[in-house]
Amino acid sequence: MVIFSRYTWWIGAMVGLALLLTLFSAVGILTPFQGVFLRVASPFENALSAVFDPVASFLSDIGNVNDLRNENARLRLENEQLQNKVTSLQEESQQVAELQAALGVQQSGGAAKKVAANVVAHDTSPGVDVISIDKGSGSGIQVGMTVLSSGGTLMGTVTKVTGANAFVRLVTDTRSKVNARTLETQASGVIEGTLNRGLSFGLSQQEVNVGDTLVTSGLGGNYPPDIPIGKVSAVSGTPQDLFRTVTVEPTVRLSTVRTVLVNTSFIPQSINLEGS
Amino acid sequence: MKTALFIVLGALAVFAQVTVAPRFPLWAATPDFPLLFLVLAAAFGGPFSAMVATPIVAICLGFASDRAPGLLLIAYLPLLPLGLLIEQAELPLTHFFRTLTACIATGIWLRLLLAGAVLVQAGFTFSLLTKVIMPGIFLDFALLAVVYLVLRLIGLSGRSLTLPRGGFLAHE
Repeated sequence: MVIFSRYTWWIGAMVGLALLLTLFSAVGILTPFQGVFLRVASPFENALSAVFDPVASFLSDIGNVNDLRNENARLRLENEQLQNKVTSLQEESQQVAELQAALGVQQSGGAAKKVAANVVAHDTSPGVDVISIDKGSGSGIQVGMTVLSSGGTLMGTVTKVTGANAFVRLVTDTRSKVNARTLETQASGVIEGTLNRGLSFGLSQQEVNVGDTLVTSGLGGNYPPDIPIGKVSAVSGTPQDLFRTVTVEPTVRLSTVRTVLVNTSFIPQSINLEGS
Repeated sequence: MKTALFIVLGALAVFAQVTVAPRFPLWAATPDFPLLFLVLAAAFGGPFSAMVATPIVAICLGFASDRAPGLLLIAYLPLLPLGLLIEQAELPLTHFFRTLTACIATGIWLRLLLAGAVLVQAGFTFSLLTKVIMPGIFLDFALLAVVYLVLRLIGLSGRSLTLPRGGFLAHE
């Protein structure tokens, strides 16, 4: 095309460069350069986040005053219920300990090792929800490890590690798939990220109700069992429908989390991040 | 001096894309700061600035967000040819509207391309248009309009995207 004639060489060069970059990326040649870049960029990214976080929080709060008021009332109620539950669980725990002592049973396992890390960047391009954190292989982080919020809610999985940084694919990424079950009805299915950075619970012909709590089922070996994910916020269709739409509200606001915990004691049995 | 300023602004655009943009979403969309930087670099710095900045921005953004740099380069690539096409079509458009049209067209292309790269299995849905592309374009449009106005007010004048005759080194 005549109009592009003086750009042709540049377009050709850029297409060639793009192909080379894709090739280098695929074989991992770019990873060391990426590590250096991230090491240099982290302080600038942290500084920008520190400047804009308060502004974003302020604007978000202004826009959601009514929601926050309702949420506050709901959380107060939940807090009261949870405190009552904690009291009864403490009593039960004491009884169990006494019974275990009487039967000579030893408790197995221990607390999982967790590495705390700060979120330095967040990629939110279409269909993507990936964060990068300021801890990498130097802190014992490996690909496939589970990432939790500071409150213990599932956030995602480590997908790439450099020396001092790691990338985490959040559960709200459209490529994320997590085997989960409801605590109330034991209905099992797969939680997937949606285009608007929400969660949907795919299951067939099982009972599920609004308000049900979803936790990881541990099936597939990619995640440890019983990690809280969220609550069912809407269900459309009937249990007889082949596919129902179950919307899940994450327990934690993933976009506002600044600190995460990487469970370094859980090594996935099989890593299949792209799903089947 | 000009080169240093471009490098700082380009880096700022990349860092802002992975730190600031996710904090101000509109539905599932965020503005594309690197695209805005490239559009403004082309509009006020001339085509040569954008030709040099495009691969650098794509690679830096790829590193910062763990996206394939090659894919990002292809995503930003149509900006200059589209801008030139619009300019040479001699449509009754001012420099601002030519710049805006090139920005919107490239914005649609890059969002379709980036979404297509991860939504291959799910396929394209109506919500991709309503929750990602349209709000994203609106954000780009709003930011571009504001920044363009500011740059004109401080005395910068819009430049042509046509490369001068005489080859690559004859740009100035």
